[in-house]
Amino acid sequence: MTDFGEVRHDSADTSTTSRRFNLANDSIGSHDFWIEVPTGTHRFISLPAPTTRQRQLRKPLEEDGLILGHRRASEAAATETYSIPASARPLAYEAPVTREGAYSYTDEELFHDLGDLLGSLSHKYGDDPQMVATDVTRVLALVDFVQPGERQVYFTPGVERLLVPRPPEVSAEGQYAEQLETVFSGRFDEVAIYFRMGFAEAAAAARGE
Amino acid sequence: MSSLEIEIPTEAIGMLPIDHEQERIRDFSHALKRLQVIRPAEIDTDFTDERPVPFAIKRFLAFEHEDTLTFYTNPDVLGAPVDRVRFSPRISRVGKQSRHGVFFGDLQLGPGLQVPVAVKPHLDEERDSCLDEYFNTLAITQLGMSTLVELGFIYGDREEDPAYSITVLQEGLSTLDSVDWSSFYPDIEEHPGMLALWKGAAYQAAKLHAPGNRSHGDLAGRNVGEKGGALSDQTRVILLDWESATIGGQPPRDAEVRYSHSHSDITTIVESMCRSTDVDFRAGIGVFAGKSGDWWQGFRAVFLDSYLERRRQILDQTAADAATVRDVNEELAELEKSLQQDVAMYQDLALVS
Ligand SMILES: Nc1ncnc2c1ncn2[C@@H]1O[C@H](COP(=O)(O)OP(=O)(O)OP(=O)(O)O)[C@@H](O)[C@H]1O
Repeated sequence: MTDFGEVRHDSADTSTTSRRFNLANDSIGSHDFWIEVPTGTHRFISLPAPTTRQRQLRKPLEEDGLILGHRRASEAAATETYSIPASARPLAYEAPVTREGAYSYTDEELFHDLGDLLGSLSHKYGDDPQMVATDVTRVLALVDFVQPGERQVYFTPGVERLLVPRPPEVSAEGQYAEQLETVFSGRFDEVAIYFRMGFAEAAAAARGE
Repeated sequence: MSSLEIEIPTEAIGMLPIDHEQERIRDFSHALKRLQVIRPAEIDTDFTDERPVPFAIKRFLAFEHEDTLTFYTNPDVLGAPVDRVRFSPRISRVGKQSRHGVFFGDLQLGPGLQVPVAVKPHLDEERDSCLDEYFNTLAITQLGMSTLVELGFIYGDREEDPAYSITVLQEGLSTLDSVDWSSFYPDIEEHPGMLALWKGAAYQAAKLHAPGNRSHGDLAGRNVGEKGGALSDQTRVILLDWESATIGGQPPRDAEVRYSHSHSDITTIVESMCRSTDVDFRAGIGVFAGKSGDWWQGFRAVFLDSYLERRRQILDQTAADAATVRDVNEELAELEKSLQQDVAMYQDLALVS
């Protein structure tokens, strides 16, 4: 990925979300857009309806509230739509935040939570473990201005279509860390420990420790 | 005592880092409790005054202002008096470089009315800057620039009264300092989205400077933002933080006056782009810092060419008289020359350090 988001054409009543915020992913046919309604403008992601297998993969993630936004579509529709927060943005272009405070979300917390999120994904599917098939930063979204205690990182809608079975010899954690290292270059080294801690905590939680 | 409880020795408490953010939020909540009046502010800015905003502030202080700590609301946003306000903070990543220590949350304005806000403290000797911020922002909005929406300001008569300016929270706002620019230059053409953002910034600056008697006063990267939302929305790049703005009531006398307004802003943008993010003093956004290549050509391609093109377009569209055309051309020629020197200086400095 070389630039802010992906941009697609608009239809008459909608407009594509600006690039800095755009969470669309062409490879799964998702579209990030705004609709103007009398009460204001609202942001959505739409994508083709999932297959049965994809629905199964999504279920545990959805149950734990790990997917961004609220899914709107009925099970039968040809497309499904998520309403998502205005502040949600891709992880990839985030400048570092290091100032600490009870109301700051620093890089340390961010990468810890990413580790936790990806760690929980790794332990969701029992003896059919899954991992993200593409660059992991493409399926992660950050939400800003949250209430204390609220989650700040999520999987983007459609993540279930980008999962593949993890071969036993592959370390998902190692692969994710490598990808984060590529996207955040030297910066990731400083926070890699928090990422690993988050990942390990999720594993421990999954084992019921 | 169970083994999990840890007793912190009293002498260590003094060593715990102070959470300034939390302190600011606590002070703000206290200030809200002390409010005696919450009412719309009647403010009229006369753009034919020589210095419209300072004159409007003078009128406000002479005729409108209460003795006690008061929350003056923007009548366009909150037109009716309110009894009581409460604040609950939100957690964020943005705004952490703010000099004033901006924080975010929700203002509860009576039952059923909750407004998400950004709160900026203006403390001690800087108290009056809250008036500058509020009045300038309102004026610049009236003049047709798109920016943040002011909800109001809190101000009192006594030296020890705190002062705050409060804007409506733009949840989908991304300022240039919240973007990691390290991979942008020199392969700028590979980043059309990032380029578009700079072009939007250049257009906004050109619009501001075109009349020749206005400047932003602190046009660093953190004060240029993109409103999330529709890609097709032309006003999605906005300038914010108008506290140090100058808005003239009279047409500029000559090219030199025009130049003084545009140069001070563009040179701030240059500095912000050239300086590194990881310094404590005057941190920039790191567009060019640490990169080899010709920064001047980079600055032209990223910002200046769009700015100059837009300035000339506006000049053509406004059917200016011959004297104005001459002045603006002189201003822009001078601007280009001095900016080239500025960029060269920052590149030299970077080589040394
Ligand atoms: N209403 C708002 N909605 C969303 N974000 C905001 C809002 N107001 C401020 N911010 C964020 O807070 C940051 C700091 O705001 P601002 O520049 O007004 O504060 P400041 O203390 O005057 O900063 P400076 O250091 O430039 O003087 C902005 O860059 C922006 O990211």
